[in-house]
Amino acid sequence: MKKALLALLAALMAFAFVSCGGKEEAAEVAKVKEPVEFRLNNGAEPESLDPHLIQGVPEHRIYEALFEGLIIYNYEDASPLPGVAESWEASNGGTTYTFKIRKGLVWTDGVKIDAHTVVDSWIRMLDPATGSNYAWFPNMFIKGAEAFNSGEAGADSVQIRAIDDMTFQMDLLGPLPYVIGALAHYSFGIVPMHAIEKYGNDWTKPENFVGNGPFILESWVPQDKITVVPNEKYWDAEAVKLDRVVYLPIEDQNTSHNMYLNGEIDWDTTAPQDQIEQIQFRDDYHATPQLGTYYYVFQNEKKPFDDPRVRKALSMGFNRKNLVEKITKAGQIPAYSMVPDMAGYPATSGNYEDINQAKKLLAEAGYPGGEGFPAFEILYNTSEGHKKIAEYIQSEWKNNLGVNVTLLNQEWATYLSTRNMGDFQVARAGWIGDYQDPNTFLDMFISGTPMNGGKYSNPKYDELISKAATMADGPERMSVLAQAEKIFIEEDMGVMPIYYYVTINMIDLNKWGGFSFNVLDTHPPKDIYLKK
Amino acid sequence: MSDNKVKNTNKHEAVNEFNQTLKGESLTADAWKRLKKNKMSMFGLVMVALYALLASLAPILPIHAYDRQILDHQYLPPSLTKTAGELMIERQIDLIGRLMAKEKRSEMNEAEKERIAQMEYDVDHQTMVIDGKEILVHKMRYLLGTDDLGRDMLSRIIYGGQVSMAIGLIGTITSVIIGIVIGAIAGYVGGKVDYFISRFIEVMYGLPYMLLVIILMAIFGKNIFNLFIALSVVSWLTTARVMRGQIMSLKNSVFVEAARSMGASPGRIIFKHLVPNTLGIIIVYATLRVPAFIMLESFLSFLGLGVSAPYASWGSLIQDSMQGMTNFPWRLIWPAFAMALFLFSMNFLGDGLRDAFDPQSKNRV
Repeated sequence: MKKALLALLAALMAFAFVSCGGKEEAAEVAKVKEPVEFRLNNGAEPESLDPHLIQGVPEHRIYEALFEGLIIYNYEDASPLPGVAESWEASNGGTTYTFKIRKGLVWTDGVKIDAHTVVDSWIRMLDPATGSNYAWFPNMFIKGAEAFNSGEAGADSVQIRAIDDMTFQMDLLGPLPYVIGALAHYSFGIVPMHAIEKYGNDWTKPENFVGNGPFILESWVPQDKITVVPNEKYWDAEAVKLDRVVYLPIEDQNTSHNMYLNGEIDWDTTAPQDQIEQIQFRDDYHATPQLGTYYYVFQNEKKPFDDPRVRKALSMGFNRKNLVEKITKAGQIPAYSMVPDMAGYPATSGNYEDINQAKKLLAEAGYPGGEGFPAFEILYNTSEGHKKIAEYIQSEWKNNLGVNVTLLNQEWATYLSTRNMGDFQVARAGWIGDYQDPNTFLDMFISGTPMNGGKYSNPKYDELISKAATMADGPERMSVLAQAEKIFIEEDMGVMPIYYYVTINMIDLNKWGGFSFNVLDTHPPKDIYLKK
Repeated sequence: MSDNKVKNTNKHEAVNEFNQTLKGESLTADAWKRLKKNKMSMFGLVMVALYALLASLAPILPIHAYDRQILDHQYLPPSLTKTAGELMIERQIDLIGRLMAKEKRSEMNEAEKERIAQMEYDVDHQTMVIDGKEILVHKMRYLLGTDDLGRDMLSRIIYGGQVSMAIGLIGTITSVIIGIVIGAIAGYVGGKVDYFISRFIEVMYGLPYMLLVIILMAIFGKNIFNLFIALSVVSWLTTARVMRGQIMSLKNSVFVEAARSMGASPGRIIFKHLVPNTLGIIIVYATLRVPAFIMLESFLSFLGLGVSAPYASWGSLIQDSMQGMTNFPWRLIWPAFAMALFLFSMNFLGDGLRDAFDPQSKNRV
């Protein structure tokens, strides 16, 4: 009996063993075919998916997957590559560009893309009825765009045209040497006008969505995730290696870091400041200089910030070196001017910290020792990192200048609208260059642009920036821009630069390829692949 | 025993069926006697008194300022024996150790040795002027460690307790006062007034409580004063209901009838005769409300809607500590412990009071 039982047991075990082996083999096969999913923390819930209604970095990441403009970015150094445009040439001394549109392009619903699509899309972008926050950006390039955008002229005034179905032409305000790089920006995005006409504002919903990028929208669960899958109709569909990209809107850096450590996300676009001291020793931690400035905007129209002396005093009244070394810690560089270090650009020295001078200025403005200075708020979007910086500056201002500040945090979309409307006193802001030229840091502060929430306005500054836009590339143009920045920062202190960004990315480059670090911190998902 | 008969000859003295003297005792004295027998409640009472004492004496206690940032002293662990300087050097050595492990070397290089030496020198010599006195800044001690901006956790917890307890207290008082007035009116007047007040309370109950507070905070702005108002406005409902029930059961009593027949006005009847008779229940209820308010404030702080920096409350301290919880656990543990202990004490006390004031209580002596 016992023997029989033993035999039975042995037989069972053998069977179990065999079946296990079988399963393993099956798993092996499944692994090969298993779809490659790339999950990333996008940092915030996007304001919108409509390329003409967005303005932030989280939105930009999604734009890169779902749409393609005339030009796209090279993932290695963020240099321009042909996208919808196959080739282009400049004429008229660099003020006219003619693009050949790639043949056979279609939207995801099969509708053809040609030069007329580009014209219609850009007209929509500039149409005052669209209400785009970023329309000022094309305005800085295209002849006649501003007149149409401000409602002074009709759409005919915009100097863009389809010469034939496959040739698109635009006239620029001047020989803007950085224009091709700038065209990769989402405000030059092309959109499916036929779908927009059909669905109105609902066209970005997953069931209605039409795009032309390497990926197509699969699902969008607000505050949860956005998933995209490859677009089979994309012209370069073979280059797309990922089977799905998942964008998670995690605002809490700690949560996302833990998720990264647990392998729940593959790319964390940030790291918790509290832990950088420890994390920096990891191989998958990458801190690289970025073309970006972290700064505080003063509401230039509101008292007491309408006085340049007050703005200067506040800017001089705290220690940036301590801030970057002991609080942000990732190797950020203290900023005294708006434009980060750029080749060929004579940097503005700005106003260095000088507490005594700051006190003097404050006294001159009528607030000796901070007396009588109205209590005000620092507005920032909800994030531990911003909070810590604000708390540091709050304490510095109080100790050094006797100025009392409270903190106010808002969720990203609310914060953006508050800031654009100018409904704040001092607000945190960050600017990542849209292309590699000082102009990208300066032209948004000319009077009346929607991004100029601080309502900075100086006719001399406006004039210089517009003048630079008409000049050919070279040291002269750079010096005009530098002159403008000098007025903006040194004389007026329109905003208060704090530090130049370092981008922090956590990604295992032994596992993922097609990912590289560049000053624009742009990482098109088109190029990312799983290393075998 | 036989003496009793002799003693109780005075016929004005109350006697029981065995002819023993009965000494009249007020309800509160009786309750207090019973409360004293309840060990947990007494523990709660002592703890609450201790907390109140610490919080109110905070400005004169020998602790660091709660908002003084010393960036060199970020994230120091709690220590009874070591000074800030010693802890800083220890951590630097640890960090260098990690770097050495990454670069696979076993000895510090010159620059690192120099950095340590420099730190050692600084620890012994760097001074800072605090409250008019020049002190060696790195010789300071932090019993409960420091936070992300180098602020003393102990003093932040004490000052945070001030805010949390004030919210608990003020919130309770305002909500109880509103509740008593409205509940008493509804209960005493009855009829249409009662009907409308009751329906109003029910509608308010139907609204999501938390959402209402958040909306109020969003509309009126984020500061401590508005937080008090928002909390009190939405939390008087239960008090009002309890009060209404009590008044209704009392309003037909003989003593009310007597007062009415003597021409007392409804206001006098409510506030002189009825309300004092319900105070026992209200006190118990209020004690149990305090922790609820503290929890609520903590929750709001946790969502970032509570007190704003540099002030702290227990809730905001806990929220701040969530980042880096694994690396710096003391930032979470101490405020959480302080808050938990207070809430426990308050609940024990409330429970004890309920038993003490309840005439049907099993613990009756």
